[in-house]
Amino acid sequence: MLFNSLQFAIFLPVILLIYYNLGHKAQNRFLLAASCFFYACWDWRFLFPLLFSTIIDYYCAWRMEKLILAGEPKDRRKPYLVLSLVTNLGLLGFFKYFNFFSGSAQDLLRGLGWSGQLWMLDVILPVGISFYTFQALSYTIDVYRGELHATNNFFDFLLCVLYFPHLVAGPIQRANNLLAQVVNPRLVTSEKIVDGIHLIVWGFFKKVFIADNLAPIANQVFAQNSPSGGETLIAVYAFAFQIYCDFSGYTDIARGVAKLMGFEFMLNFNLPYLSTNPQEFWTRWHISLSSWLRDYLYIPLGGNRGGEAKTRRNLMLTMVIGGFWHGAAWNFLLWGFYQGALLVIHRIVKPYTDPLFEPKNPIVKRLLWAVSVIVFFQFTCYGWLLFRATSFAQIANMTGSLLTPWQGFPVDSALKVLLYASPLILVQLIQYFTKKLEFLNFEWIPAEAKVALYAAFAYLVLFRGGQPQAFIYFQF
Amino acid sequence: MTMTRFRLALRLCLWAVVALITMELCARVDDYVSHRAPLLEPYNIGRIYEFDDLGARGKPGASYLKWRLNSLGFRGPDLKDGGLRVVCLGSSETFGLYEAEGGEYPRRLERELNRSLGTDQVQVINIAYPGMSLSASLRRLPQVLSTVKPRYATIYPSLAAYIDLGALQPPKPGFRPPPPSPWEPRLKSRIETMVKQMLPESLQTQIRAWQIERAEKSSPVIDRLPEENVARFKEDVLKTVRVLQEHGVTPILMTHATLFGQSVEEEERPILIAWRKFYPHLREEGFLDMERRMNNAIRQVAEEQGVPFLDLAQRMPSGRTYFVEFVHFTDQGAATMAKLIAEFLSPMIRQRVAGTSTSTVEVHQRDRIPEMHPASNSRYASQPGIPRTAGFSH
Repeated sequence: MLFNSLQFAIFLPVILLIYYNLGHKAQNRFLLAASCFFYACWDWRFLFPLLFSTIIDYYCAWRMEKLILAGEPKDRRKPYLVLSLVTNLGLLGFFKYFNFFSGSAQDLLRGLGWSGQLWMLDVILPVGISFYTFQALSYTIDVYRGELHATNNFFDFLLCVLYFPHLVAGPIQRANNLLAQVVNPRLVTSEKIVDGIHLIVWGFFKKVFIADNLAPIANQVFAQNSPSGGETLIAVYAFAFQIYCDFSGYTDIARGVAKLMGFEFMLNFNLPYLSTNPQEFWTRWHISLSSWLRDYLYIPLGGNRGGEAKTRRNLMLTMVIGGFWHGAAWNFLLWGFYQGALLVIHRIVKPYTDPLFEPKNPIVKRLLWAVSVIVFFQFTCYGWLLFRATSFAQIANMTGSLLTPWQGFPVDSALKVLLYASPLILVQLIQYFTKKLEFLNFEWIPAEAKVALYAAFAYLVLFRGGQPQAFIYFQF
Repeated sequence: MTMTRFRLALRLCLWAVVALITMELCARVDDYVSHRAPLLEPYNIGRIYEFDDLGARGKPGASYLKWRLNSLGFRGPDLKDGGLRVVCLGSSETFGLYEAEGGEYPRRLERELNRSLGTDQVQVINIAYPGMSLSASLRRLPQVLSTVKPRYATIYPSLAAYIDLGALQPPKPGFRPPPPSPWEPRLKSRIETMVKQMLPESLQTQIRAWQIERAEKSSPVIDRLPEENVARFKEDVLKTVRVLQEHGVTPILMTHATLFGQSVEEEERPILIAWRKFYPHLREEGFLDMERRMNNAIRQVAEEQGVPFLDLAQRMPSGRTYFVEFVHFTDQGAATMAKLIAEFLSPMIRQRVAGTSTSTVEVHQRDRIPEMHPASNSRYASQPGIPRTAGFSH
């Protein structure tokens, strides 16, 4: 069931209507049933791996909690952590990466003259598996570290994992944030409802009006064998705005829906395209994943505690794994490597460039900021080329087309990208300079004007949206 | 407490009104930006029509959505001087509803004919309008022929227009339909279309069946179209052929094709129900029977009058690849139509052009194709039996 579908348009009001008339415990049971239904709408069989990993995680956490309460040493908890890691990463590896490794090994062996056939799985990737395994892992790791008490109630934990707004594409909720909201009664206030509606409308606008209208521009060029430099540039810009609006649109809708039920999800995007460097970018883009990678991978690897060389290695390793998390394909690995390289290079040049970006004149400072944003956006966009491409040959062709003299320029497509991206750019500049992400919630705007603005957004979503496309991050 | 609730309700009503007005305003601005539609005038299909004592006709230079009429009020570009002209008579199938702009079969036919004849001087003029019966076309046909001066006319009539004979009556002298209100909400049709797109087909069929059931209560239902209706249709086909022949135009009669072909598959039944919604007093089975009998009438007229005849009901492939719904074409359907007609018409044109140049028969101004591309000229002249400047010389 997609958020941008008629089924969801019926599902959500029905759920809310019932939800508001129930007590806290009944709400939790009801949300659990609704989430199972929501997930089973894709394929009821997807519920089995999810239930299996949840049962294991619950058991491991429960055992670790017992050991903590008994004052046992940390080492005694390790087997349970390992069991949880093996279960979750094993499921992820089995469903998502098995065919990739098998296929790659087969290609390698064929290169060496072997003509046999390696075993390939004929299974569908369960929707959202990358998201819910990371979320469940955060629970067992936090319990292992003693940073979180394990819950005694399996159904509460199951609801944390299954809760439908974040189930298939995040944000990856930390157990310490969500579990507390599940266990304790939630308050639905009029402010939360207004904020929720705001997020839902803005999320749909980004997804349906911007992303879905930009998708054909990018798809058309990425489907070509050898597009011109101009076409590649415009397609990459189109994809940059498409993926951002698609994913952040989904996140906004998820956060909005959660707010309508009194839940608070973490912020996942904080104006990432207004970053001036890769370090800043990764504190603004897919925050729930980047912070997860920081807390559960980069820091355990040693973080920046073992000297510059080890820091660079840890950065690179974290980003490559982060890239690979997105999909079982070489281009995602390359994208991760590229992001890691950007972070490492930034660390190297930072001591020399930082003083340059601290001029006393505020106008010069602002100008330098704008230049940095525009320049770094080009680096980000090149990363999207690596991300979106379907083969190394396509990456080479498109990179080559950008670097050789261009034959013509697709003015129409460029204008379309500008047209669809301009509301986003305008809104984000307002958000950035006013330091207020809920840009419609300015007190000085009369309520009627806000309603009119929402209605205009709703018009564009309902009647001017592009051909409905599945959310890009669903495939991960 | 009651007062607070009352105020809240009032406020919600005010917000609903603000939202609706904003969305209506957006719809009008959207129409203006997309189609240069006027902001404060009515904007619907009625914009492309004007009325006189003969009934509706195309308004010169009018446009609505993707449909643009030329300075004579016909869909398509303005007429060029000279050349050989072919007119296409028909209804919405010929006018083109769902095809991309320039993708309706008359436009494609022009391209096909010019390509196969190796020229650019064949002009195909689409004189059809949505909802226009053959009877209504016939009333205005002499006027159109005097203006356009075609050499050939393809006739692809809408058969369903003859289900209700009452609707074929000519308008009363001086009758003009009342102008639509400029305040007619444009949001309404958008919402209807959106809801229709969102509803599953099975539910749409249920709703249609329910609408038909309601309509059945107000008028008697018939299983089969009366013989009188078929006879009236045949009479109009014959009259059309005669009017064309009197004006020196070669008529080409074509049978009517539908999505169903010769029989209705079970999965096509919802489309038949959708068709019936427009004529609820004829049962579903009556539609295919009507098509068979009226197409037979066309065949008979063609045979009796010795008129060139193309059996599209037999030759046009059926199914959703070619038809969006019961009778209207997809882009591929329109392309197939154009190809079939061009294959039929090209040899006739070629033969006529060859015949006129080798005899002393006067070459009509409208037959002459004054300019030929050198390449296409040589390709054309290289065909056996056709002199180098056959029929195209001044």
